[in-house]
Amino acid sequence: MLLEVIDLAVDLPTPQGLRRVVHDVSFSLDAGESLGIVGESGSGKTMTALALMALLPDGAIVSGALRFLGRDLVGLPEAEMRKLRGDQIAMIFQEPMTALNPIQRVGRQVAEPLRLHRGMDKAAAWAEAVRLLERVRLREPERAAKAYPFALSGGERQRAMIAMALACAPKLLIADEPTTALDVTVQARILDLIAALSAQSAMATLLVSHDLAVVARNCRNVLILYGGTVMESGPAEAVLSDARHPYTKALLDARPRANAPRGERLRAIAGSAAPAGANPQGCPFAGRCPLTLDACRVTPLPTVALEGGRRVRCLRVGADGRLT
Amino acid sequence: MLGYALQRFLVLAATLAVASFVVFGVIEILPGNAAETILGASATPETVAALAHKLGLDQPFALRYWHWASGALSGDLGLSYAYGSPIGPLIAERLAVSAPLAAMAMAIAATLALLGGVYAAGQRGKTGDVAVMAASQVGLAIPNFWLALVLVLIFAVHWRLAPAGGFPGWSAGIGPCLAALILPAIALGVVQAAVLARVTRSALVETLNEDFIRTARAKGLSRGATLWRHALPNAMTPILTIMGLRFADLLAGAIVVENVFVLPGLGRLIVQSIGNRDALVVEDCVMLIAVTVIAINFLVDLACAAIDPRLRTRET
Amino acid sequence: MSETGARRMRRGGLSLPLGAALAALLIGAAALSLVWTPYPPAALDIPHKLAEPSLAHWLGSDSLGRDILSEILAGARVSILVGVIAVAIGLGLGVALGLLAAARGGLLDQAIMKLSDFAFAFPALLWAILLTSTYGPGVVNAIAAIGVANAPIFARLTRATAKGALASDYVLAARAAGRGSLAIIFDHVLPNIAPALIVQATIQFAIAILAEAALSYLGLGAQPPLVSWGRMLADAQNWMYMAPRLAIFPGLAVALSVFGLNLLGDGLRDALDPKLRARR
Repeated sequence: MLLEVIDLAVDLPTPQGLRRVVHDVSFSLDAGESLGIVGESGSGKTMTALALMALLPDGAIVSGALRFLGRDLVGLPEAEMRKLRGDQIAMIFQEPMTALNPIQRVGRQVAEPLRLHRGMDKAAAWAEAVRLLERVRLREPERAAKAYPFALSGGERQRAMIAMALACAPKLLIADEPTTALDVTVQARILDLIAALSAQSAMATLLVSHDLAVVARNCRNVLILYGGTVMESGPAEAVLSDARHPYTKALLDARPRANAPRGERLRAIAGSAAPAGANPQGCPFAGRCPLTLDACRVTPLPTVALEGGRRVRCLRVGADGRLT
Repeated sequence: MLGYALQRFLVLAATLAVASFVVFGVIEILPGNAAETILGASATPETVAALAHKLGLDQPFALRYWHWASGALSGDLGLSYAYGSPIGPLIAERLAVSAPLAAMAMAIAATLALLGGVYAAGQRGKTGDVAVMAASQVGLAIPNFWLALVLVLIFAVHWRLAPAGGFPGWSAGIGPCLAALILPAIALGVVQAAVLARVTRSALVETLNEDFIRTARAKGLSRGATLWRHALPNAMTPILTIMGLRFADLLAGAIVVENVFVLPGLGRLIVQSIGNRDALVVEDCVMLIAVTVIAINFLVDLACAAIDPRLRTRET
Repeated sequence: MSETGARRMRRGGLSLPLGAALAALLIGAAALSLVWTPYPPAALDIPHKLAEPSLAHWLGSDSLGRDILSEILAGARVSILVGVIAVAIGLGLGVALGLLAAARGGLLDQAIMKLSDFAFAFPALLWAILLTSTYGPGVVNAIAAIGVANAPIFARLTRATAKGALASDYVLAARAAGRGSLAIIFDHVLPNIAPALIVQATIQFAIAILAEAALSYLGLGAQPPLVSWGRMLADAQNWMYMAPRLAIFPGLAVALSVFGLNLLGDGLRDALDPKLRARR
């Protein structure tokens, strides 16, 4: 097992004290596998990803276990963690516009992990950076390496970010909304690129997205996050075609469909997304969920294991996966 | 880059023209003339008129401005009324004191500000940050000439580590000269450092919140390496810009501090010339300070463009 | 300092009360000096010159036997006078120019901004030296020079905020309702920029006090018999080897006043202007 996350919890400092934004999240990921974490903004999906990198905001407290190649990353000394970041675990971010240093040439930024982790000299790292830019199918990689980020388009910058992440051939790639800021046509190409690259090198991918369609297309497994808690998980195909959790169903219903009858209104999920950490005892979806019982607010969430490795966490779902 | 430099140079030339006009105008165009001021209230109209003629004050303003400006461009700064000698060499002699003083003070200010600001930004919100910011708040409040007096009391009078004033002249060797300049440079530099440390910190704190800082950390860079390699170069543009502006303030402060230490620099020349009612010398000195400030800001613009490629391509 | 102390300080929790207290002390000293000082501030008492601090002279006496405490109290008046009038001149000029630039735009806007750019490079002290050397030293010329030098920063501040306000929907609505330009400026624009102006005025007040002290020290500001802290420092310089405190007390008075006003400005910024606070 490449990565095993067991009962991960994250507490963030706020002016009112610590607030739990991620609740007992568990999942695992094998080499070459892909997992999609889906949730609305504030669902804790980005915090989960940042916890893996140990790049949470100052003062954040992580509990549970994050086993990467058998080693627990929780409480790992910063110096050890630094050796993993950018080498074994790499991450790409949502905003390719701002995620690159505006005053450094792209090539130098792509080369930086190589100089850091592989000890390459400037010339070798630059040559390798150009090869990487070529690998992410940037046109004229030499020119792109010499360019400053502002001279590249959004899609080109995201390719450069991917090249940077791939520099040291990481075992795990975390992609946090990698295509949200891009044009729709560019989105698909970037996602295909990530899929192709991970297939080439047996790199595992953790794709964080608010977009079910993106995850459905690119990930074998899916984790539905709400209010910092896993609502439902399992193989992406099964979960999305036959959702069992009321939240997953609501999320699927809220999705615009290309083949929807004309005039059908987009259904939004009623109410606004609960901030992570709401209903500390019960289900975070309680109240917004059409099936809410009084018990939902106060009863700790049960985990119902279904066939095919699926799990649902809902008081209203019985052992057979049907609503009670 | 060359196009940008040329464009900035044109702005520089235009600013210089405006500056010369303002400096000349303030002294020359407004009521009373230098002859009256020189001769004082007891002078008869005839003697004033005679002196005015001798000084060329009866010519039209535009002509006088032309003489002054074209003379200055060709290196002729005119004659000092009080010293009876050409102003150019007079100023050059004083610059031998003032220029190194300003350079030392700015070096002290920049060093302290960068160290303090970077440290505070790294410690953002923690005790070290608050301590540096509190110290800079105190530094902001201290008049530089008073700091100069206190430094004299401590280091010259009490501990006898440095001279209390005066300047031995460069023929006496570099050591004694630097010793004579160190206290004034500290007095000038520390106060500017207080301002610049705040600027450095806030520019850095803003940069540290940028996405590319997280990218740098995700590559495996340490906090320190991220700060120095990615955050500081990006924060340098605003820091350098403010440093350029504060340099003007430093030069003005030098006028006062030179008087505390009885240094034969430009500042002392200005104050003496005011006492001597030697308007042309004051004009030339103030203009020289303006030129220096404008030139420094031009260099700052170029430095910023060298750091930030976006500045080089953006049309203004 | 503890973490909570650090956090309070950062939020300006301490800045506002401490700054306000020091500013009140400055105003209080000036007000007190109008009705009472231990001795007449300019009264010479040669036999008791350079007296050590004692019950008779709390802070001692200077080289001509003048009571230091009385002089410091009276000196606060000049500092406040210079600060208030110079800031008022700067505010008046700067706000007028800034509004003009924002309202008219175009070439006039550019000209005003270029001029203020240029003036930025010219510190108040240099202006003042230029002016006082031409028109003669004195507190009036010093105030005028410092005041004019204050204008550019107020002009920039006003223009920046006014541009935003003038472009907003509510001003458009007021225009559509037929409100005149002046009425719009008073009703919608000035209230918007007031907090930023108040904060900046406090800071400029402090800068004016520093500039006045420097000018008076050079002999270009307040002239005798007017008592000013800068002039006290100039007098003290000849005697400070014998009596260092002569150079200490007036400087402390300047530093405490400026420190207080700067803190007050920071505190006001946090309290008055949520936008500025968010940016920090």
